[in-house]
Amino acid sequence: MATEVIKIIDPDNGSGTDYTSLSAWEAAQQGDLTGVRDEIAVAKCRCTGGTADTAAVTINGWTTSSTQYIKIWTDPAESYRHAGSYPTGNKYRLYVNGGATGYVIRVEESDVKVIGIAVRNHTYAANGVSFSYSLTGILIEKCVASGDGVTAMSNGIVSVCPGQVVVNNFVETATTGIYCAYTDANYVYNNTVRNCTTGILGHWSNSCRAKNNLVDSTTTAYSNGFHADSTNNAGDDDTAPGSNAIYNITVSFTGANNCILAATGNDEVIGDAANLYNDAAYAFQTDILGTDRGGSGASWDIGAYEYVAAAGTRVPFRRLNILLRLCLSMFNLIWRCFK
Amino acid sequence: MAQILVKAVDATHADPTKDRRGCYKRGMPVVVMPDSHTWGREECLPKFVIIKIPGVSVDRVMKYLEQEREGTADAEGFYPIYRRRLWKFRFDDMPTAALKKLRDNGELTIKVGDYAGDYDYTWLQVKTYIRNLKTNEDETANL
Repeated sequence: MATEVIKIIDPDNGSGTDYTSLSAWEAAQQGDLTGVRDEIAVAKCRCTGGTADTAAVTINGWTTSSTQYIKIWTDPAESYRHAGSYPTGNKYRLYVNGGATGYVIRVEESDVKVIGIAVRNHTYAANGVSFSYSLTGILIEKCVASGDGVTAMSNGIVSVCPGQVVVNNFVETATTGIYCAYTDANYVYNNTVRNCTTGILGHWSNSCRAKNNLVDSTTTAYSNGFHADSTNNAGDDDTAPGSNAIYNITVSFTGANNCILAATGNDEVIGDAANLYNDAAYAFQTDILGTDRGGSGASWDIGAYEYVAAAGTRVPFRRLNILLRLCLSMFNLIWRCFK
Repeated sequence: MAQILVKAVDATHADPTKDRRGCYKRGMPVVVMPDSHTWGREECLPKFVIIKIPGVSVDRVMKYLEQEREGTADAEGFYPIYRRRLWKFRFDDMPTAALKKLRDNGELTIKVGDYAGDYDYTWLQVKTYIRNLKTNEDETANL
């Protein structure tokens, strides 16, 4: 069984830092994971002093397999992961400004998982997280891809690889939020896309299986073809593909640049998603923040954020109300007894 | 105010195309950071050396991170990488003293302009050891 080799990436060079940029980690670690290394190469990203990682990253020159893969992530057990928006402060983020790069993260190898990473691209017509064609074993999960609105980010997340899974991500301010325009089957589940020209771009070959996606504030929510398995997508026009599509939604978020659903005004998307707990292509159970969506049979929300946790504020309020009434009744009873 | 993290050893791949496109080779710059940057515990020998160029802005040195790209875009509009870096420090052609300093200390300090602190070599001396791998010519520009 392959050994996990974990290296710490921290632009602030806090205690235990191995590399101060993801790019340096990649340069140092690239090689054959399948041979004598028999390794899962893990980049655990931190931000102990508030500094962004500013070097664009290319993953290339590796040899991987499905069990000897590359994992780039922020560990949710630590405090350096975003909270559903492009972060500031002590949250790890990649911010690329200028230069000739066409991406923030460019993946040219199979078997790469990018989890819980926030990226922002200031370079005109460049991508957030991009993959070359025909890779396998690609997962991008719980990430934030953000244009800064000053220059136009081209594609937030590119999904063009066979079997690629794009799940629980938030993309904002791009020409295309999620770009799936290629022939290989790929799975785009429970993402939220806001403030883009096109939310999710499919392909004439109908390769993209889009489920439970939430697209808002776009010129066109969904464009080109999607696979017939697509279901429970919502958009702010009438282009949402597949069965149980929700058209012309009005949704309310807690902020202009996040995917966190507000407490009110979201009846169209809360509890209206397909439950993917047993999905044949990619079964999962949590949302962008790691909140449990519930297992088989549970009611899921559309988009990257699951309102179940926040809904806790509603249910306890009802319970509190009942409790207060009960206390009042008992107080009245006791008062009458003494009287 | 720049420091360049430079690969000190070759990475290799069995596929020659991947080896050229993907693998950093000895002498290829990886990232550029400001003078004040402190490096992580693995950003040093044996895998890296650091070229310090005090007083020169990061922006002026960023060009050495450029990748050599193919001339035709793919379907996504992306110009595929031909070689991991366009520029490379020719460490092995440097004078023995410079090479020894890199081997022993893992860094060289280069004087540019009015810099008055300690240094090992001047930019004028060093630039002729930085090669553009596309044109196969050494750097002639000043910083």
